[in-house]
Amino acid sequence: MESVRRFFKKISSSMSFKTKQILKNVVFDILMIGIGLVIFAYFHHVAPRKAEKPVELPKVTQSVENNNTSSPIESSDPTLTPDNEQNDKYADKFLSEGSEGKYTKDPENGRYSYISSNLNVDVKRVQENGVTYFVADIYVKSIDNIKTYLVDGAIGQNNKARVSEMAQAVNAVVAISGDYCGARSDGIVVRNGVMYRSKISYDREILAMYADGTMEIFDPHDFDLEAESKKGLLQTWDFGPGLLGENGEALTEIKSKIGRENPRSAIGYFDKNHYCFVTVDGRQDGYSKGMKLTELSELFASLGCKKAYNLDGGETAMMAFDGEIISKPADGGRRSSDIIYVGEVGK
Amino acid sequence: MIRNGFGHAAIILSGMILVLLIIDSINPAMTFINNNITKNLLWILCVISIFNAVAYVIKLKTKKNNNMQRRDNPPRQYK
Repeated sequence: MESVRRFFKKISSSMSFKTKQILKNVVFDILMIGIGLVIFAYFHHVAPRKAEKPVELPKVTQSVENNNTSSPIESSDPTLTPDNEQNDKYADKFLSEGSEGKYTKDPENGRYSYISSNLNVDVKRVQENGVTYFVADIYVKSIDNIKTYLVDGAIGQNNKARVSEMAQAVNAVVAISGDYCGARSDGIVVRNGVMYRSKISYDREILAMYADGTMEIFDPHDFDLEAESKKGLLQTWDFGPGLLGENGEALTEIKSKIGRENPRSAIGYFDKNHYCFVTVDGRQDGYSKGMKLTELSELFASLGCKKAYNLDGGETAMMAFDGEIISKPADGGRRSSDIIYVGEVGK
Repeated sequence: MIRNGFGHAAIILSGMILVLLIIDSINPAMTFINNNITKNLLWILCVISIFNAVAYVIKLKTKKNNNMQRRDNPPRQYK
């Protein structure tokens, strides 16, 4: 300690008065930049933001397309009518009515599944080319079986929880981290038919899910909340980008600053009542390096998805099955504001 | 004193915004730039920069005038 003091004294005595003044000013400015950034971080990450009052969007039982009528049917009944034609198509995927749901877990081989009269979830872990990822193939009988959960039912920097905690709170069969909407002050947020934030971010594409089970990806400039809510808008996610072309083909180039290899969380759409969740582990040498967005696009194209959308990745990305995290999040993962989950109605 | 303070404020704000630009380029999803706080900081930086620039121009003008005055009326030489 004494030697350090002597060292600084020696340097100080060898400097001219002017040099000392300049150095003093530089140190002062750097210190103030640091203090300024700490204050910024407090207001950006911690201090609660003024939240909009949640607004319930009009309920629509079936879309215009399904009914072949000129206007959507509005209903006060919150239970959405399942698409019968679609259910017949996937009837063999479910157990007979009234059967008890059955979990199967094989963590060693990375296979997890759940089957009931309403759900069929099959999760498999894939390890190839230095990347480990999880694909959850999901069939639901009703759109009520695929939902989102916001911590404390509100958006806020402090409304955060671990994916496993959120999954346990709603008895999710399978859940993935969402778009972490609480981390940002803009971007439209509609969850389970309730609008929590109406401010559109024009930097990011929007994924919308409707009461009839379809999904659409929008350029934010083309998104009309009023028109979409009349079509039965149930969920929106604001992160992106979309990962597939018009006809479900892989994209060879994706303009994004987060395009390099990273842990990923994404949702895919095959058809009404048939979806998939993908979680890619990353930033872990020897286990999984993560995926580029173009690689993720190739994966969804190979799965046969019509649409796919990237969600918040990095430390946020994780997948939970029966309330337990099955993926290996980077640096242990972080708490986030929301999940997308699949579960039994009323459980 | 005020001019000195504004000078430091400009350096500090510029430094902060530079740091935010760098971390925003690494993780744009966190919107370090596209948020109200940063926009307000940019407003303040612009106002301070204009003040500093005007003050500097005035200072240069005054210095030039003083030099011209000194050239036109050189101080009397005493022997």
